Amino acid sequence: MLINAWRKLKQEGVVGINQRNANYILKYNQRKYYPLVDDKIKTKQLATAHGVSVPPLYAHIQYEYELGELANILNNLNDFVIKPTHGAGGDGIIVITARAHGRFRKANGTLITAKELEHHCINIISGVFSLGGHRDSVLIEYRVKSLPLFERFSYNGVPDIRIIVLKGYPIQAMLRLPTQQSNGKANLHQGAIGAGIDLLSGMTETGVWFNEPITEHPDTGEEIAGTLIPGWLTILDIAARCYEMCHLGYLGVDIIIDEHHGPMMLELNARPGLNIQIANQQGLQHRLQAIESQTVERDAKERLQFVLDNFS
Amino acid sequence: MPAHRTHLLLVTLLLTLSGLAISLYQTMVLNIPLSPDSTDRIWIIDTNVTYEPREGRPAKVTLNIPDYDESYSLINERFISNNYGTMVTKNNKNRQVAWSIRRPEGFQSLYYRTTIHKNSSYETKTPSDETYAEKFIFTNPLEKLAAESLIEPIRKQSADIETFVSETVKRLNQQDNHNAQLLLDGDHSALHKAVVATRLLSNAHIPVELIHALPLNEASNVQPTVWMRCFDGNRRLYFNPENGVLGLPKNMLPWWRGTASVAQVKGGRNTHITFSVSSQEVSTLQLAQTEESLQGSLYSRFSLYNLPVQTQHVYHILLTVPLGVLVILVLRTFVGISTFGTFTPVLIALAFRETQLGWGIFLFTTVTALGLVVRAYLEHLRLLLLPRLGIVLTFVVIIMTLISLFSHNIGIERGLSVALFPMVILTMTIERISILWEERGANEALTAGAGSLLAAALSYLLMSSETISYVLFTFPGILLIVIAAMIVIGRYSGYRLSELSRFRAFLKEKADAD
Repeated sequence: MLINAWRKLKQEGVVGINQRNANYILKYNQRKYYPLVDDKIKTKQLATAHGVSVPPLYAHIQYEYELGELANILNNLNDFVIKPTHGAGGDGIIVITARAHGRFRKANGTLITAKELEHHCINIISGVFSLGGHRDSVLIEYRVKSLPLFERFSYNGVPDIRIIVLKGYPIQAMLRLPTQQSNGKANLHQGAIGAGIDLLSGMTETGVWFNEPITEHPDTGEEIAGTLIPGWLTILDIAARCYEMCHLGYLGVDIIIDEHHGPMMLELNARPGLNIQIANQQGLQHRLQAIESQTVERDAKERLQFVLDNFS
Repeated sequence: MPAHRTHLLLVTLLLTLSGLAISLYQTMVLNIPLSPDSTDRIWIIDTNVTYEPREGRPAKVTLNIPDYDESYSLINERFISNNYGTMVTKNNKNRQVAWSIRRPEGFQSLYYRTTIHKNSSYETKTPSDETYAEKFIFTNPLEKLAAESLIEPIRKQSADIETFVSETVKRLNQQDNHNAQLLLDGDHSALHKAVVATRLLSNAHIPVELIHALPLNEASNVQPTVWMRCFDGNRRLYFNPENGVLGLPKNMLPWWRGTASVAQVKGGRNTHITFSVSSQEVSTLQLAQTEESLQGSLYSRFSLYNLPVQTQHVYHILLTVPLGVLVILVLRTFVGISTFGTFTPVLIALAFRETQLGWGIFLFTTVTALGLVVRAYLEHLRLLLLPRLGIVLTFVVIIMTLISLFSHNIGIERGLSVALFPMVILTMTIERISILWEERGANEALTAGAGSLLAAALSYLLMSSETISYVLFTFPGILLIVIAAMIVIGRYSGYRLSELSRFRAFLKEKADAD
């Protein structure tokens, strides 16, 4: 029984955590480049330097005493996102969509006072959400507005696109849809839905929710499959270009589409999760191997062409 | 990549082999037992020489002492005398102790105490220093004739040294053999028979020597017996001079060679020599530690048993920690159990050593649950991280104190052991559970909590085993094998057991298609 399951997974080319760590992350991701993706400020600067568009930064708060300025900073802002610079897995992110009654309205509709926001910032700085509990800093940035197209199957948040990129070749993609369960966040382990995306066309396929396949969004009841993601080639191009930017061979690129600004690179991940395989109903192994066997050096455009020619 | 593979394989092999080699050397060569309960028998032999000195004359006592080069090995030997000069020498036959004194007064008593044990592996070294009697020339023509007529038929009938010697002794013991009786000349002591047999055999070019052996029977007056010994090229053969039977009985300690008495006293009279034998069971391990041949050796200097007892106790525990970590690694890498960090479960397991498993789990759960309540309340106060941790820690200490007091009052002494839980670990566990709880929900927090407890329980079971703790402490080379195992785990790229369930969607899809 177990052996059969094992064989079947192997046959499907499903990559497990141990294999991902041993054969891809340890092999292709050099430790020295990790800070580039773990520090969201650095990622932002790097992306800007490489002409990859990112959500604009409003403020960066490093020390507790700077929080006195918080009220001033927020004064001019109607909506924004507060993030830990070194956060992982979407923890510690607060999305403010509007102001009401002298308070801030969170994405889930509840209100939060300025004092509470300040306390949250203190928590972030003291390292509650950072990897390894180290001191951290607060990042306040532009809130990305969802496309009307996505409105129907997202709950209190903006869907984003996760693309796995090996040596600069995008090899698998999924659309991550926030749910009530995920509290508006787009992280699968927090309860977001992952919907596979056909790499060639940018068309969504059926989704996965808590490791189980799902066809309709649990909150809105909308069909998940069959939505064409606008600007798909631009999105793939951003993903491919991130390789030269951060030098990480095995990379998870998160891209979000803003109503006004179009696709933007939200963050990079040096240890992308494996649920994307369930969302696509397809193991990563075969495509990873196809890329690994490439010996020709290609630039981002050529890599993209290779992907479009070979993976569909 | 293949070069990298080969390298890893080599390192793993090297570590495993070194670990095995060190441990095997300890068991096979140093006789260190694999189990702490294994015992061995040792014999303590006291040789007492007494004599009366001649007035005003210096005295010298020479005592033959065993050489321990065969199936017995020496644990220690002591020379006990009053104001004597002591010197151990070795002549071409025997090891000897010489006691000397210028002015002995009154009745003199000297002791030689030796403690020995039987070697488990019986190996006969090729005797290099054997000194056998030269060919004996019978000068008396009558004796010469008798000797020749006794030997001649044996020479014809026997095939090898073994049968030759045996047959010679047998014939010598025949009452109706006139040749034999003539040669013995009325002296029927074992010693004399052995002497005559040796002479006869020397004429047949078979070198035989006399050996006196002490039977190891627990008694206060044990008499040594005479044996004939020869070397057939492979091993030493012992013959009983009374009946020609081959082989030294069990528990016989070869003591000295030659026809002379065991002790000579110059300048004394009325010499008496008594052997008394006692034996006792000792732990094999202790035995291996005390064996004289190992004293001062490299091994004994690096043995953990040389540390102060208090420190030994600490290392007994410390050396099992890597094994506990190995369990966690296996659980996380092969099974996919989620725990709070890698080392937290091991530290909890260490605490379980003192509290016992059931109580340990109960106390740990209680303290953590109460801590979580406090942590949940503190969330409302919006405190900075470090003060919050400080408060939780203080609260943990208070809970621990209360549990101890309470359980003491109702008479459950076990509850006192809660104090042995590492409170910092408890505090960090509480903090991590509560953050996980908030961020990922109760489900994941409790799963990780239960996973940590399960991992802790499993590594506790392994780490608390007396045998495992003994084996690791005695054979620390095994830690190299543990490292090798960790390297193998470190390169494991197969599925985790939990992933078979995580990716079950793939299995279902396939089944539908079929």
